[in-house]
Amino acid sequence: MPSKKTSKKEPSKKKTSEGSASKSKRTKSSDKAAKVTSKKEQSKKAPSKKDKPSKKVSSKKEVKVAGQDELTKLKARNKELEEKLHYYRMLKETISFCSNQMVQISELPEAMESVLTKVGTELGKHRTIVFQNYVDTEGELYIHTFFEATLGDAKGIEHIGNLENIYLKDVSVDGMNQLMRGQPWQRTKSQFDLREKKFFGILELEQVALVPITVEQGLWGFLLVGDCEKESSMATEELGALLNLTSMMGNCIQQEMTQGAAWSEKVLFEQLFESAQEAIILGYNDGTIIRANEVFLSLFGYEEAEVLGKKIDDLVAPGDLSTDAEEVTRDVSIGVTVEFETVRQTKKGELIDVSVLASPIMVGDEQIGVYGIYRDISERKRNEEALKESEELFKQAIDGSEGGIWYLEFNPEDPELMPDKIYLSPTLKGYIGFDQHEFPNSVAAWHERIHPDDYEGLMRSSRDHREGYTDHHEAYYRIKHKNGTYRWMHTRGKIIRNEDGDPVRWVGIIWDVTDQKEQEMEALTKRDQATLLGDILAHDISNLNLGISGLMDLMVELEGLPEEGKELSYHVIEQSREITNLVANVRKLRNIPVHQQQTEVVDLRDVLVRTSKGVKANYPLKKMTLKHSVKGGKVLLAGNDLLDDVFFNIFGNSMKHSKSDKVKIDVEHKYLRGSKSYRIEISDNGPGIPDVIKSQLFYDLDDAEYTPTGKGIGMTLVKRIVDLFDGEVWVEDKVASDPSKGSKFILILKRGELD
Amino acid sequence: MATILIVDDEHFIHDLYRNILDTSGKHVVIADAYDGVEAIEVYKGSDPKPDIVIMDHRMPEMDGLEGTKALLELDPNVKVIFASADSSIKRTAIENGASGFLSKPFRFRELIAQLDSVLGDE
Repeated sequence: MPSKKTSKKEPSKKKTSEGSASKSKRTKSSDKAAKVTSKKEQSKKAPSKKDKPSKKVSSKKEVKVAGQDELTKLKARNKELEEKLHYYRMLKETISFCSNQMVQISELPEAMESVLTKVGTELGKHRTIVFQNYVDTEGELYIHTFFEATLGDAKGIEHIGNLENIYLKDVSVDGMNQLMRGQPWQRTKSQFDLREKKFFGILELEQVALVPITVEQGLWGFLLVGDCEKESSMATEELGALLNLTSMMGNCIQQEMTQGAAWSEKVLFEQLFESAQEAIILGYNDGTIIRANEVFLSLFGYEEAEVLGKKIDDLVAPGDLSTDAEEVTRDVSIGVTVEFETVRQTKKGELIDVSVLASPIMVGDEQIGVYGIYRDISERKRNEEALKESEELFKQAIDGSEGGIWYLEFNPEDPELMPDKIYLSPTLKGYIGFDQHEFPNSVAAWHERIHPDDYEGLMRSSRDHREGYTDHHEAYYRIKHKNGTYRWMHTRGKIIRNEDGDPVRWVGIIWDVTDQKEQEMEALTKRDQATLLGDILAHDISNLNLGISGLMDLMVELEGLPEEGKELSYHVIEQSREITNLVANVRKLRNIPVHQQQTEVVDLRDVLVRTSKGVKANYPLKKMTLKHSVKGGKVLLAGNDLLDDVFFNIFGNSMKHSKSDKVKIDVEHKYLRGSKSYRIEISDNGPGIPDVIKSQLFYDLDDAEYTPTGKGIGMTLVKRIVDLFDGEVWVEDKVASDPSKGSKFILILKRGELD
Repeated sequence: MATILIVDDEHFIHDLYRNILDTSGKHVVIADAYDGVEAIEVYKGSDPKPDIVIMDHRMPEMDGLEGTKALLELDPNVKVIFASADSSIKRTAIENGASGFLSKPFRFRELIAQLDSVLGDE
């Protein structure tokens, strides 16, 4: 039951709801009946949440003039307001609250505040026309809601619009204008046709006042205060109090509407921000990050704490990327929206392709910040590149009259399985002598014709590409032509993969390169022939020299041969050995490896013994004395048989150029602890080497600027071999600045390490 | 007197060997072959077997390396002195079982020394 309160302003007459019903001039019904039915009706009318979407409050409008136009505007405005609310339903609980208590008029503000608090917290997003019944009980004014309707209801608006048929049918156009201007309207003897509500008949009120509820300077609803018994108009003070009340109601409603909209916007924003598929950051105008969503943190590999307060450009566009990034930040900071694709860097330093939308955030005319949206487009870029390459391959295939194309599709259900079905272009089949329909579109059929020596190489390339080790598949192979001969093919292809990396399609081109291969083979054959000729030349010269030196050896054994004849024979032997050495050095220079070889441990004493013996045999007319202190097993070098050629050529050089019959060669050695090497000095008593010759002695055959002087290639071979073993060689005067006293070769050779 | 089989595709080399070795008075050439295949046949047909085979490298039909291997398969005790102008083949020749290596062209006394060396190993 409603509570009973005392009014200070109006004489009151206590009246129960039953009493009220009996005194009212309703043709049907009673307050009680009205109350009960009202609840039922309200319950039936209450719309659900989904009936009305929420939207932001828009700009203000002012209704100034009544009439049909104004009503149209009013309708539009109501519709607009309607759209701005989160949901739409009847103020069931408000009605329930009001209908279950009697509120003294003097406490109306408080009571309505209570109502509006409830409205504000729960139902404040609704607008309503509240019909209030004014009752006078024991000299006090009470208000009692006995039903309500909504202005937003289409039917209700329609009624208002027609005026003739509204419940408050006595409200004139002038009355509506008055309400729209925010002024209360009242009159006596009003009838409220409630028949359309189906539970009342005609409600006759002795006095009625409508007090407008204004929201955003527009008529939102009104409070009706009616009296079924008392005919006198409400006092100005009373109307003023009610205006205060409705003003407060309007403010509360407006506040609720605004806050509700703001709240919903905030929720929406949060959801949008965090559930977005794109990486989003919000920042100040200078690019300092205020917020970053999960996708952003995940994409760039940062924790939230690592990005907040940092400049976006410092995080994702350091170094070379900073130039264009700073330009973008500058543009956005002055209100320009920029959209582009670029490369940005993750925390780990990986570069990723991204699309970027950078835009200012405006509130009114003021830019309060910026936002950036990044989308990872790496996959798309890769696909584009693959597509571009594949298109290029096709373009080449189509444009080039000499290329034949092939492609095959992988089974999506089993992408690892190599399909047999393949498209082989007519050009391709033509390469091996078949017409389009003569040869099946089968991988196996094609492979069957591949030369067995080339099959494994083709499969290796194919396998490596399928397993992702190579960017593309490429191979040369021979395939059997219809006529039984083999043709050389050059195939190049690429697998197009989906986002999961599974192969989808394999496209490729094959060129018939038989002519090119034959030319290469011919060139190789020529080179081999040249090598062979060189070997034959060396072999035959050696054999001929063997014959010359052998015959000379036999000659000197002849009895009765004068000494002069013997001497001449030895000269012949020497010359033939020079020829042999020259041929041997040429052969060695041609065959010597370019890169360092695996070394063995070589005993220097053994090398000295072997090479000195060979050199002595080559110069029978000269006596060579080799002096050294190298003991067997004591000086071990890192090298191999080629070291013999080093010493053989250096000793031979001394023998060859010595004008004396007695050639003295001293070999000294010293261990260099720091470099784990031996310094070996080989000095002779020969005529020495002029400085101008020294610089040319070890000339490099690859030096295009050097013009050989025809002095042999022995020292060039020495240099090559020493380099091969990471050593050094040079020549000095045996006596400084006096070449005539003989020469000194210095070798730096690595020490050989025994296991 | 050590007996020798000369294997070389050059006829004049055979004559040279014969003359030089005759001069030494310690060695005698008992057989000649002109490639690896013939060397095997001659070796098989020799009785008694030669003490030393002087084997050239480059020859038609079967070269010296293959010939050396084949002879050693036939008689693991055979002594082969490999003779070649290509000293880079020395290591391979020794690995194939040659007992000595002569780098062509060689001096008379080098040949004798090599023969003495190999025979002295026995």
